Amino acid sequence: MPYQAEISRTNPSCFLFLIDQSGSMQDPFAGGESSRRKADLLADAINRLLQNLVIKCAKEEGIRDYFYVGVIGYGERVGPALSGQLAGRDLAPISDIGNLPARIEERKKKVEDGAGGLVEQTIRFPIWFDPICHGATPMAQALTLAHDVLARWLPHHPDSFPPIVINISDGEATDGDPSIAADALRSLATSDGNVLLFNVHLSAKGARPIEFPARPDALPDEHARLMFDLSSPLTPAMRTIAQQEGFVVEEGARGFVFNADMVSVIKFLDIGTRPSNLR
Amino acid sequence: MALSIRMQWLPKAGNRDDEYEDACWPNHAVTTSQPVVRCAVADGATESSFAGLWARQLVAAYAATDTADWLTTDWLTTLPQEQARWQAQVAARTLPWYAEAKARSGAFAALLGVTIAHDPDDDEWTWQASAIGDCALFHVRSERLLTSFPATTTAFFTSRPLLIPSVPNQFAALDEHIQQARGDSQPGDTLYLTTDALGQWLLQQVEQGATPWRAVETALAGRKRGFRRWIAGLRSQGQLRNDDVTLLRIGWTER
Repeated sequence: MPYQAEISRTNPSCFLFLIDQSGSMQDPFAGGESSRRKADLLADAINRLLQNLVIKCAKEEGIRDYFYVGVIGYGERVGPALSGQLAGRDLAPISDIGNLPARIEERKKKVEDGAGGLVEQTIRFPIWFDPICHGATPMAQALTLAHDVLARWLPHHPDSFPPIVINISDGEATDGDPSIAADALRSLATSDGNVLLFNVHLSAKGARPIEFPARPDALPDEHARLMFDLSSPLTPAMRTIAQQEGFVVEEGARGFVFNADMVSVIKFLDIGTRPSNLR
Repeated sequence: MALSIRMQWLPKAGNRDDEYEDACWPNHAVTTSQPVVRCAVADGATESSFAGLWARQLVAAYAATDTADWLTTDWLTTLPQEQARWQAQVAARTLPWYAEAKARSGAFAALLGVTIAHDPDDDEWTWQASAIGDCALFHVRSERLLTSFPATTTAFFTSRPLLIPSVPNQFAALDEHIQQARGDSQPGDTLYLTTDALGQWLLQQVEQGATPWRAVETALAGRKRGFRRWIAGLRSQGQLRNDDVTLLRIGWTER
């Protein structure tokens, strides 16, 4: 059975995020849920996700390297997109992510005081990834770069839980058909299964999100069907998590959401990156 | 007669001894003629931090509870003090942002406490067990399982049980989740307290009609090395989940 490998410090896994940084990301989400730019909201979600991943791997003695993590941006240029000391690195062990944020901001948070009341706490909020939105959508190049990065990582981790690549974009590729690059990426494998490629399409029309479809029939256009084809099926464990989160997921459900709003992006990232077999 | 208490433990394969997050009480071999003896095992959740610290605190708190009223679950009344003590110990350290954030959500642990009492007037022995979570007690007589608690089938171990949090949590109505059992025992019996991975394996053996108790005794007789070899074998055959393992054995001995 694939996708069962134990994730440990001697057998870590990998997350690679591909983030659309094209000019259209400066628009707000359709539907008026917020006047903030898509790029800003997405950067918040990515920073929050990195923070959660680091915290999941944190123990009293430090951060256990259960994962390697990378963020690739694509827009005016295609390349590693973390800021600060991690700038230029395509993959970093999660301990480096935790120890080397670009900066740490302070935010206020209300928490329970244990006696039925609330107290305000100052929370340190690390930032690794800043919003950029400029240029076209060279998705095929980003997928090719992801392939090259993982092709270098995999020989060192031949038995790992397969790397998970999450591609988040608000539009169509402007550098040709991304299928060939996506197929090559998904054909990479460890002894535990093929690399998983999941896709999030951000809403432009304010339409209802279509989450984890199992068939392309209900998708509204060519682009949606193309992105469906690029996406790997969810693993059985992820399907179970998605069902627990209230999604209707059929056998063969793909790691794909079309017309995602921010809520559905965050839920998607949670389901796609929740480790279940840490040791 | 006296009680002889022995224990063995191991961290997950690939982890160091100081990364072991179970705990047991007592934590060293004891032979005792006390009329009331309290033993406990706890399993700190890997997903939380400072979980080993929390597990050690819980077993000590169970053992230290006033034994006069041992039929009740009064050890839970000490929980707020224990939570405060855990938080103070963690707060005393300078932590990086992630360790601070992780500690804020608290540590979690399963706890099983067993109190054995001897009534000298009619020379009767009884045990009373309380549990939250998926640690397990096995009462064995003549290589036959009399009682397993709180798990009665292996299916119990596949659910995600409520655990004891180290930070106040208004959603955890712990008293509703305390399981309790009691039984009579006699010299020659054996009580085994285990954390979940080994508990699941033992119950699975029983369900399959096997008698695992002799293997357990052989492993314990081999001390740390014998126990380690036995557990490594079960893990490599895929029979035992790679988890921290704790086994505490209570037996009767002539004094």
